[in-house]
Amino acid sequence: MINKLLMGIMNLIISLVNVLLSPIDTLIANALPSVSDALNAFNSLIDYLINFLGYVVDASGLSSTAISLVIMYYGFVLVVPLAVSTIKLAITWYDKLKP
Amino acid sequence: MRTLKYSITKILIYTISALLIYFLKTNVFAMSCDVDTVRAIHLYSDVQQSRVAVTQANPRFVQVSFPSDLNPKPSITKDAKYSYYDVLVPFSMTASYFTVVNGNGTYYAGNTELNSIQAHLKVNGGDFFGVNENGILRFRLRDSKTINSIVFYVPIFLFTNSSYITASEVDIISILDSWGQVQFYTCDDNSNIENKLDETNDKLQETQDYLEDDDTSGANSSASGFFNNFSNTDHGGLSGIVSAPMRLINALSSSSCSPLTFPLPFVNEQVTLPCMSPIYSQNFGTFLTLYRLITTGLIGYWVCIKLYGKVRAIKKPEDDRIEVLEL
Repeated sequence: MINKLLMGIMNLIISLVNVLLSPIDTLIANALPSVSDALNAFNSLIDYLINFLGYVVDASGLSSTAISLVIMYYGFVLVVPLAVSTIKLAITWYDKLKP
Repeated sequence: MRTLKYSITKILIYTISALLIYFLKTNVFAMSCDVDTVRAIHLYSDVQQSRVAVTQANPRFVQVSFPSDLNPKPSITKDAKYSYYDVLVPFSMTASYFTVVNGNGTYYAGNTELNSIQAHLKVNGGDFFGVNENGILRFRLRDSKTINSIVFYVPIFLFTNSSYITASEVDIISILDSWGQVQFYTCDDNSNIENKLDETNDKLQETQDYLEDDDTSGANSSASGFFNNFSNTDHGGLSGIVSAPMRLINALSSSSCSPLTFPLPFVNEQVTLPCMSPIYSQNFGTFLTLYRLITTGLIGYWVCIKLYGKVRAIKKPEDDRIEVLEL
């Protein structure tokens, strides 16, 4: 269940990042098509490498517990500071907007 | 600014306190009696066409019942002086008809005056007889109880020419056909407070049972279904690079090994590399276990140290780093 929840939170944040950066992506795609192609190529490379991730993890011989620990750590690092920062940002906005 | 914060906090506290006091007054500590329900019911006779013997010394009581599906709830007012609970039943009777029969046949028929009524109250734990006070039946109970039924007994006093008939048989065609009104009263007395406490305890127990329920069979579907509306298929442009670490972690958590197939350069043949775990297990069983034990311990130690550092960093107010946005 924790794994599913973690994946869901990841998907949520990825979707939010997509939403936030979509205007910039659109701007780059229209104004700087070559840069956009380079960025897309980099993303394609990441997608291609991700295809081999399962094999690499299996070949490393690490136990599933160790993999879970690594996932948990990076999940914590990538999710919790963002949440804390969001709360700080909301409090800052409230502090600025209140009479 | 600090004064403003203080004022807002004070207003909030006063508002919450006022709401709390109002809730307690209206729901817990209220001692006033309010009319709960006013029901109009149809009293009817279930002794039509029956024959009873009536004497002056022993007038017969004819039973008149409420409809069986009425099942009235407690209709109670608390007598503050004697700690009684009163059930008030105003009544009125509009018509009755009977015939008196002796050995020679019918010699009297007509209406009778019914100005007296006695009521029999069936409650949990005992029966109580009511008294008739100016058209109001008054029952007195010691405790608040559920009323199962109320049965009226109509005494039949027959008289002709202002004198009672000493002995007779009466064919009762219709004793009464009237409309009565029952006022149900409820008091927020101690029993009601106890009931509310019981309800609260039941709800707390439900929460406790829910928390202690270790059946997690539906947890997977619930957790994954929560995020069904979010899609991570579009990773173009800058957003793809920003979210690349998260995609990597996401893929790591759901990765499974599949044999690797790729074309070999210059030979023009497909090479397939099998998954290595079965090979490791087959050839290096003990060593693999030892290796996994050591690496898991080292990674666990590393994760604990790092997590401790991260938590300490988050607690620092000046630390505004967001690792997700660090490229």
